[in-house]
Amino acid sequence: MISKLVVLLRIAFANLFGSFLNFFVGAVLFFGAALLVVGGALFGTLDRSLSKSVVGSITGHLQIYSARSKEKLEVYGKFDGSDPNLAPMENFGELKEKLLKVSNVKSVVPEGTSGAMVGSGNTIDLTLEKLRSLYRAQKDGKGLPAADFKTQADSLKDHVKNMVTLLAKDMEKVTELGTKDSIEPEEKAALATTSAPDFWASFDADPFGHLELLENRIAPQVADADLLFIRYLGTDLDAYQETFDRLQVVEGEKVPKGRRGILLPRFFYEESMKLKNARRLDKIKDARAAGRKLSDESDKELQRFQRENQAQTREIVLQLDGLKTKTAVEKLRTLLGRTDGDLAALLGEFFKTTEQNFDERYKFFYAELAPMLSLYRVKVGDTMTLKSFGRSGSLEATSVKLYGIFEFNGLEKSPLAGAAALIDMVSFRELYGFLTSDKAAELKAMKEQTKARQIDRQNAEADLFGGAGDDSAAVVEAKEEKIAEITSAHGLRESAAEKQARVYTQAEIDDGVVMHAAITLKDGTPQAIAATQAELEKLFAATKPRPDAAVQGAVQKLVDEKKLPFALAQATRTVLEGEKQRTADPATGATDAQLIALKEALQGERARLDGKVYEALDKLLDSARPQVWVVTWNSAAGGLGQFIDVFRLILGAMVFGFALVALIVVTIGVTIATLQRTATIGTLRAIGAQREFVVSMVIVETLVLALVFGGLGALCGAGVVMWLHTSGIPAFRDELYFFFSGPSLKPDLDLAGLVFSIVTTLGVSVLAVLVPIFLAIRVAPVTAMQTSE
Amino acid sequence: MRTLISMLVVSLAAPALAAEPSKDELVKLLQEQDDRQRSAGDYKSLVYLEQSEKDKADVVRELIIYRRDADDKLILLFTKPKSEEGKGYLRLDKNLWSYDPNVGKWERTTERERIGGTNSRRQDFDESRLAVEMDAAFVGEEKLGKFDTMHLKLTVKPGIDIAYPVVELWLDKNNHNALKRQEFALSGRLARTAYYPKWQKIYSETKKADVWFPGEIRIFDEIEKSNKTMVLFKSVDLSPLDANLFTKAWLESKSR
Repeated sequence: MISKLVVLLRIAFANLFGSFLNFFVGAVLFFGAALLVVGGALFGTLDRSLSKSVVGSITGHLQIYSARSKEKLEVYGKFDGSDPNLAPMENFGELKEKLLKVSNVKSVVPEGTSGAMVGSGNTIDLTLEKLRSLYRAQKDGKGLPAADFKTQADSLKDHVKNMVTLLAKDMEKVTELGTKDSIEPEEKAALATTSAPDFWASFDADPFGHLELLENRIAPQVADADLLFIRYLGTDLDAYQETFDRLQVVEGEKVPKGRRGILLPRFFYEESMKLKNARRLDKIKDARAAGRKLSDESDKELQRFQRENQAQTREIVLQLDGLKTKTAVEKLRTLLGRTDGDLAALLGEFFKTTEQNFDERYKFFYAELAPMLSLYRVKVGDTMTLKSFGRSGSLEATSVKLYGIFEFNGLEKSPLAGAAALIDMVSFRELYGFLTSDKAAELKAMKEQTKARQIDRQNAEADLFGGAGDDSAAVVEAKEEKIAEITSAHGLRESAAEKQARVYTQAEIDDGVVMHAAITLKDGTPQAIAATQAELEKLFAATKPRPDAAVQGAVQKLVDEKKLPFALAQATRTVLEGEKQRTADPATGATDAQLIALKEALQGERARLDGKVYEALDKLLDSARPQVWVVTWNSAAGGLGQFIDVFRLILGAMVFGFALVALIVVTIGVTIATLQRTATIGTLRAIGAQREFVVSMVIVETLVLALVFGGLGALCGAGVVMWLHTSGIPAFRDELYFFFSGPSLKPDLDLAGLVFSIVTTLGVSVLAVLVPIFLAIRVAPVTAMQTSE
Repeated sequence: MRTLISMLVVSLAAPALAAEPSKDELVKLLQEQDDRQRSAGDYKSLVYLEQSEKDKADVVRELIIYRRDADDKLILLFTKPKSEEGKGYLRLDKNLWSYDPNVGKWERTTERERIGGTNSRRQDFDESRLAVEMDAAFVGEEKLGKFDTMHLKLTVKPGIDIAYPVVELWLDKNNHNALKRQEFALSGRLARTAYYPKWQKIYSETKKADVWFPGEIRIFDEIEKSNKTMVLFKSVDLSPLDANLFTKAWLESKSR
């Protein structure tokens, strides 16, 4: 047996390089195996990197959310930028306790995403607001010592005075340009009043009266700052920071335990809150580091940054008070070698940067000008005002202290990881405006007390003006009633300062509503995630209502009568089957994925379905669903999670494509080789070789070919992977940081991938050899000899 | 007696407008609307505000309007529910400020501000300034329910900032009560339809005449068709107000 194998191997190796055809077939196997190793490593690493980014920054391994939600959870928001319509989960504390009892669950972090507007206002508004707060605190007896108060107040007043002077100069220019008609007389008069020394001399005698004039007549003369929209993730900040340890506070500090506060992502902070001129300088610097040139006129973006920096210096001018303006002018004149020019003109010239002077000016800006400016709209330690339209319909606002700026390790430049701020759960609930039972009762009482008649749009005119004997539109003599003043006490409301100072207990953070929660696992392998998901589904299955036979019967009838569209009918059958099983054994039933599939199919078909049909299916869903859905991280990541499926699909397509090409090429190659050797085979048969020997010969030759070329290909692929691992594939766009989970992708050589590529090559070769074998065993010695003659 | 005088004024004015009104008559019609609602002295009113929106909880509010028409000043102070208490708006000159005691900050807003998150606007609570802000054109006579009405089209005068630059108004032909008002964006898109079914009046000693106010306003959102807002004027008080009331400091003091 062994001697026979040795003979077969000797024949195989002797024929290995015997023909061009073998080289051709070998080359296909070589490249195929190499591609499988490289592709497998690349996509496998991408898969792991993306999951690391998503799992490690927001979703955890599993997510739970209310099964009453109208839409599917998508933690990064929907494609249109809005948030999915989720129902809140009440009593998060109880839920957390239940989940932590599951052996593989490591932590449970409450979450909720939403968006808010950051309080706007121009530079004058902001300065006047500071001045008002200063005087208000002093009036309330909560201010600074007299000397400190005077210093601060004088500095702020000086700043405002400087801004008024600037506006007055602007007005003079407008007048010179002959467009004075565009100036409102009131604006002109207000500028004259506030520019006069008397106004400032009498300021302290009536600070609030003076402030009103400045706020109402002067501040509106400056354009408002851009309205800033911010996305945030409301969470238990302590639990979040412990769980997602890639988070790193790079400026400021973590929000102290139990305090209300906000952390801003570095990416957002730099992009949206930094002084525009400074940000553009940073971007030019980065672009130059990447090899782009300021002298390149075809680089539209760099040219635009240059233009905007020269034209938009207003904010810098407004930010500087008289003394600072003088200092800045002196410094700029020295740098630019000028003896004249005001600040605006000097800044315009300063921002004319070239390849030669950029580094010097960049350094000058940060060393000399930046210390006198507010580089960011909000600084660490400041309080930010967030406004949001809450669920209860009203505009909710809250003030939170900015404790720090954060980044996720390795995801520093990722817009996706740096898109959402982190805010404490209490502030999140306040902004989200949950309609608590207390609030609902209060509103109900108000409505009942008023007893207002409800009018529909369709019948409004008939109801209001059409009724017989209707006295509407007649004028009624009303009786004057004294309206009581409200007292200054505000019930249960805490002041903004009290809220800031308060330390919330864990129970207060937990005992409330949350939108969804991240579950991280001790063992986060795909198998463990699937097993824990099943275990949690089982745990929550106990919260399902009892199966309803009547509901099942009604739906079964619809299915039997074929009243449902195909996809909906399929989803319904699966759930019906599950419900029938659950009737017999409460521990069984449809999985969450099956129920969610029915819910989505039902939503998709809602417009086409008859009302009664929809109702019957909705009832089935209602009786079959648990309290919460348990979904994996890639499902919770929504559109982003689907990238993982795309990666897997590409990998599968690669394997399939290679197998198909190799199958065809190897089949044709070995068949031709076999046909070319008909005489040899005939001779072998004539001298006594059995058919088995011929078959073995063809198989062993093909396997050796596959093993040698496939193996070499796999090794070569491994070499490429190792080289890529060492050098790394750089994230050439900021968006790729998230997919690469860092600044570069370093594919890992996976032994399983190596073996898989060789086994695939061998497997395909074995399949490909079937046709040649069939041909070889049909060769009779006589025929072969005749062919030879 | 006062009612009799009002009726006489109305009945004398009405026949004059039997034919298509002239430009002057249209201006007079607008002035009449403004004059009726103007309070020469101070004005205070308790208002109930309710908004229904599809798939959302109803917004319910109670607020007090403080007006000093002589100085063009207005304060809206929310008094109910508890979560809204102390929030408010202050109009000074052309500025409309909003104040939220939750954050202790003032913010300058625009004429398009949705008061208390509802579809009502500042103008729904403030004095009427139709003749000052708008030019009128006669569209025709129409029937509105059982009422004969004059349909007018009003266009904002140049340089004036109001929530809606084009307004169509239906006035009761007999007594000139405004019954219906449609407001359009600059693009011509209809934004709101409001109905005024219950006009009321109170005699003002300062004005030496009646001050009219719309007992209720029903507003239907024409963009989000499922939204409707109800404004009910529960009571009106014409007593003089504190001289320093229309200041930021006063509104701030209500929540400290």
